[in-house]
Amino acid sequence: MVIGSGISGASAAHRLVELGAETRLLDIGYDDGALRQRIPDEPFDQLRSTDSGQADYFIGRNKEGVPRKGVVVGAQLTPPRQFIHKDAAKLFPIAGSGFHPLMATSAGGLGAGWGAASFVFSPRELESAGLPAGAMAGCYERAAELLGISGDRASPVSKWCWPSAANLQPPLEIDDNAANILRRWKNAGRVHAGSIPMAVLTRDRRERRANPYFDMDFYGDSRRSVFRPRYVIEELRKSVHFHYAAGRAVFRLHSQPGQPPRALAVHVDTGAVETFTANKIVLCANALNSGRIVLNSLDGLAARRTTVLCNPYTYFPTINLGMLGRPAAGRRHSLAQFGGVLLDSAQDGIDGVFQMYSYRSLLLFKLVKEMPLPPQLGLLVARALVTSMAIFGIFFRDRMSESKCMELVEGGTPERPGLRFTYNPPETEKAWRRACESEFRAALLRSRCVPIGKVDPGPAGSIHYAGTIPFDNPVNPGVRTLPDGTIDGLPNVYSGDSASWNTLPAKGLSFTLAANAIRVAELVARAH
Amino acid sequence: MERIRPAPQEIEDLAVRETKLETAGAFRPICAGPVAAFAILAFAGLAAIPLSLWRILRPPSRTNGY
Repeated sequence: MVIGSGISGASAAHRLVELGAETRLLDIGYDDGALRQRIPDEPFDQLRSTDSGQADYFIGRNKEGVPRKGVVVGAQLTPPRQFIHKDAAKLFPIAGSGFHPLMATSAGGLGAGWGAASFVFSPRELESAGLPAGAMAGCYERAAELLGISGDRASPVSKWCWPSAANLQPPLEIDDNAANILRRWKNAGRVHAGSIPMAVLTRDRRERRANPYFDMDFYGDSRRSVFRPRYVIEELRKSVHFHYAAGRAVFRLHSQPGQPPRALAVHVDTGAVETFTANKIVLCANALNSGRIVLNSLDGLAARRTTVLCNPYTYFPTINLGMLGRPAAGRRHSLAQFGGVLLDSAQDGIDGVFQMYSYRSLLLFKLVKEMPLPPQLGLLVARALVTSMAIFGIFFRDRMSESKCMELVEGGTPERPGLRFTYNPPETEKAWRRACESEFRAALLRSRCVPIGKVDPGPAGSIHYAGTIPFDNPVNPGVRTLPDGTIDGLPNVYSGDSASWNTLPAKGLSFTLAANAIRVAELVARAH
Repeated sequence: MERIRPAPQEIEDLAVRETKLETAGAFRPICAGPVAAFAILAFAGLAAIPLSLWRILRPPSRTNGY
């Protein structure tokens, strides 16, 4: 039995069915197919000038796509993606402030809104996370086959981003803005840039089609070119060996040696508590929720507290002087155009991984909102700058610390236990991050991209979570994953997502989530 | 600074205008070359001074609560 339908859950379930296991998947599974279907399969520029109903998907029927003041969880999601965290505040209550994670309740989990940048961890990064580099190599190849990855092996950053023999489709075309920047970019010193692998098809493959370059990738799933875990679940549902139970939010596990483990779930519509039994359970509910379930399941813990990891994230809106006032072709995709690495000072490891986005399809009113100008003038400036806007987001690695914790708190119901987060990186880490940001800003300026701001979306802003049931837990040694993949104190329950990782490299974790879930599924099948 | 920034209602109105076919034309990119872009930025910079002063000094009742 697999819990969760995100990238980990879908990949684990797919491998289990492939290996001949009868597999049940428990999922909350919200979706919004109606709004997705409402989006015509046409280019952004054309929709803007012809579709009288465009407000439905660009700003939402209730204007939910218009940003509000203050920290709003899910503010980065466009209206057709808002279902990703529907009812999350009710189902996963968070106490306190300062750490505002995006918790998914959707079919496909956070993968329903994934930006699709795909990275392979180096052997050193895998070992540091506690994952076996040898076993992971083959799992990366299987994951590439399942997700469909396009990329350029000859990219200057390939040796860092894709140290793997896994198959790649030809790379995505980049837009005029990105091409203009890359022409000037000098790969030297600590910052290197180039094409990065993406879980986006550039060639038709089974029921999915090549990306049409409609620049609507933040809104719809045009032609299914960008990978979504939902496609795997839909394919699995055709198998008689796969059983999908939606509408279930798992909150506790029971497992004793010699007995089949059980999952207790609340039905999100009726509130009824149901029990599901299996030979083995693979927990893929997202690191934060997996940690919450385990803290709520283990008896005899002195403290219901554990570690948490989350990549620090900073983004720099910049003006690319080389494109100022120039037109940009309408043919483009919306996702990361290129990316790269910020090497550590010894140029031996990776401190940061960045991606560059052009802004166009996110509409101008959001730019105007950020300008200290009256709206008429802000709009004029936004119109003059929009083709030269380049947004650079950089993720930094994260390591465990006693000041980065999550704990179960009183006040929630047994079915909906609350969480409180403490995430205070040590001063040395803060100083290191500031130094990395300065180094990166200097590289942007060298390529004539002038930063007009620096935005820190807060400690949970990267939406990359891990390390809540780690192999080595310095905060609460009783909450850990054992070397065989099972969770200490919960025999036959496996950790299938990033909850088990000891560190979080700077590289986006999603593709490694798929590979690791495949590895865990193989462990489960072998143990069965 | 906060009084100069657009108020939430102004942003919502802008979003509605941007997604209406009749008014969307006023949101198209201006791509008349780098000199024109610099000229627009300079004009906006100069015009911002009196307009911002007006937004700071005008009575709150006329500024959506700002």
